[in-house]
Amino acid sequence: MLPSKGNSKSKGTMLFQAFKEVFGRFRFIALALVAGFAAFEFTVWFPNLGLIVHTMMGDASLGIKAELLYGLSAGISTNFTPLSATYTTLIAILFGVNLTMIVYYVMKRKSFGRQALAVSSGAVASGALGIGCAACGSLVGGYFLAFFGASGVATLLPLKGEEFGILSVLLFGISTYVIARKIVEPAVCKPSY
Amino acid sequence: MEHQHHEHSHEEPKEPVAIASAKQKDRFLPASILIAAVVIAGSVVFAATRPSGGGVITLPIATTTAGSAGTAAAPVPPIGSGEAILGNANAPVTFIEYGDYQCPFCGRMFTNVEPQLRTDYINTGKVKMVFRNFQFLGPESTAAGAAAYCAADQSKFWAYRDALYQAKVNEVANNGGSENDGFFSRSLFLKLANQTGLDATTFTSCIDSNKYASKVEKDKADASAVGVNSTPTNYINGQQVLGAQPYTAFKAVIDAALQGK
Repeated sequence: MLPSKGNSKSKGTMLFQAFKEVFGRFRFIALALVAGFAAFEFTVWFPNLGLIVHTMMGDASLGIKAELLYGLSAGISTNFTPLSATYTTLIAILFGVNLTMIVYYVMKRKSFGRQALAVSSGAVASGALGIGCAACGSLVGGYFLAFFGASGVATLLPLKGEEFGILSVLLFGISTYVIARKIVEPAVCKPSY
Repeated sequence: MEHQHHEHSHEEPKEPVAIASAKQKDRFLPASILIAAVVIAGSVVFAATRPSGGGVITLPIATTTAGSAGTAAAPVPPIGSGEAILGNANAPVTFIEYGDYQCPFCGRMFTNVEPQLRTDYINTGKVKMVFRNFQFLGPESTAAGAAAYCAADQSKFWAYRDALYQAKVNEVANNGGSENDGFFSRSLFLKLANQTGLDATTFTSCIDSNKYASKVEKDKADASAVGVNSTPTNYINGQQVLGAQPYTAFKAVIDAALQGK
């Protein structure tokens, strides 16, 4: 008996079905929210990680520490261009969605979605290069480009390195689609030819 | 009966193409995850452990030089005798801003943070503020920095510095201005000098002679040595605060510094 290939579906219907399957349960909604929030905070806090570590480990009161974290979080509105604020927020949301869908898929199938994980990894790496703030540039990109003596590379780009953030959004979008497709695939065995 | 011996070939059977392709994908996956993890982890460790006095190695917006990876930055210099101080010189907290007059985020900090900073902390004797040049966005930035030094000759540095920032903020808001668009011109510098009550003859002579252009360039080099390569970069009692953060963030850092006194 030949294995079934499954029914073909429109992409929109397939995505909706995957989201409904994954986010129909509260615990996966919670995971997506927590992961997305963590990614967002990491991004806006990243330019001042040294300050945060120094303050949190210092003798300042709890109120001051909380005020600092809150203040830096609000930096999304003051320290980012409209473009960088948009893709920073999108990356955080897509990261939460992506991670949750991968976790769901692993739990469901007890296996890794190799292609999806590879694209997700690329999205994370690109996002890492693109994050930072418009005022302070891409810190991650600066670290690694400086290591290779190529710090000025991003300044040659039209958007001064913000292209990596846009690329990350695209890669996360592709990864979400790939994972969604895997989730709605029927559990069949496929020949390797 | 003859026995036929069939010698097995020592040649390894070739893998099917599909299996070889799958193995390549298997190698790609952990490699891609490893690369992503190294990128993020390395940057987090670096950013979180850099010295509080500087040592920033960040990608600049538009500067031609950047600190080399792994080189230690000099500590932020204390206030020099020639620097104009805003506020009480004996205030316990020192706020140093490295700025560029054309930087839109410096402009945001000027309009969104400084008014309340002055009201709550500078005017009350808790904070003293110093502005240092990191004029890297082009020749108009350098010219503006030099013009401010000419104003300092007549003890009007801070009034003139505020006028430069306000003028650029207004230009961006009203006309959608950008960097090196011709706004910071000689005629504007003279207009602002008149506005801030400077002696026109002395000021004109100063900017026309290019008296402070090299000093502004030296300021930029000194700032780079500290680790500054973007604006605004601020130091509150030596603790770096990067970017045009909301007032709440600066307030927290200042309060922490005051608590430690």
